[in-house]
Amino acid sequence: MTFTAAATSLDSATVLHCAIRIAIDAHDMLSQGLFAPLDRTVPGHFAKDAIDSFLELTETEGQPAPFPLAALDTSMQPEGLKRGVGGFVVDWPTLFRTAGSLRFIGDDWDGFGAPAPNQGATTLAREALAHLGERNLPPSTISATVEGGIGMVFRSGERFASLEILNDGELLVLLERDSHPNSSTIFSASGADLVSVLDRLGNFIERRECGPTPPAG
Amino acid sequence: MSAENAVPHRLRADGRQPDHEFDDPSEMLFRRIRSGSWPISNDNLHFLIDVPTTSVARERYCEQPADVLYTDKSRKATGVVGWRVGDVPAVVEEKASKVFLRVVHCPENDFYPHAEIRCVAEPDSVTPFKPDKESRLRIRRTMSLLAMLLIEPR
Repeated sequence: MTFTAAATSLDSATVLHCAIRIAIDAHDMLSQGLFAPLDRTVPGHFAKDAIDSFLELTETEGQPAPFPLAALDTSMQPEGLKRGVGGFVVDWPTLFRTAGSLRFIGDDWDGFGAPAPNQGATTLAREALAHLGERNLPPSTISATVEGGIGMVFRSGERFASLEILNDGELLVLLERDSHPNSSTIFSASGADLVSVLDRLGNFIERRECGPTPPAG
Repeated sequence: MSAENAVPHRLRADGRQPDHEFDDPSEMLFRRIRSGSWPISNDNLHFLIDVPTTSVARERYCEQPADVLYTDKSRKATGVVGWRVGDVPAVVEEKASKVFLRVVHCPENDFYPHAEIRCVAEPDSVTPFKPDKESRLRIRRTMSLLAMLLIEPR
């Protein structure tokens, strides 16, 4: 696998996104027994970071995950994710590793019979993280969900969003203002609509759209 | 099971019948949770609340919130959240559908305080009813916002 160190005209977000996608693709190909050559061109150091992440991810996946599973709540763990130069989250590998390890928690991980996330949900969750990385929008928690799948939450001030990537391939989303159930919107979508769902979620959290209206009084 | 982990005799049903009275709205309903490396908060608790039946323990028949931890046979649960009976909404609406919530005491032989917060299709019913995903999320989120953290999981 070779990467050409070039493309200096690409903006950093695009480069990071490419690097993450390559790591995901490489991992998926390995897990499926496919070793097709990668025809991508990204600067070498970004690719190296992504491949290092991928290798760590692979090591994690080879072993049963410890319980309780690592989920990350950066809103309450100031030492968790840190924003790097240029506004990038520098610890995205931790998020990817967490997403990759969640499917090894086993069924009944909550003690009430909840199913573990499956491979499909895991792949989609990593794809979601790649898009979120491009937007520099890290989830504050990533966790298994009792519905079966992987859940992420996002908060910015009074704005809150929950994304659940379910084992059946569906996405379940909640957008909320002011922590009030009456000021929230819930919708579901197909996993095929992941990018548009993430765009809507991101626009809501980043205040680019109004979202649900808070209740009067 | 070690003697330390054995369910105390006071928590066993020992022939007692269900108590269908929930006349004290301040009575707490305890729910055990497993966690560890991430802090439980009202923002992420909905990932841990299963619907349509949420298993809880009645404060009236417990000495302390930690009694509910006896119901986890593998002893992995270390945290407890809770709701007041009076805080459990009678009905939750999502778009055009209404789901009613009922608290039902359903003792188990080795754990008399066991109860369930159930989704039901009619206000007077006690038969669990499984709403669609959106409604379930609405209920999980509503219950998450109403929950109190009583024992932080280790």
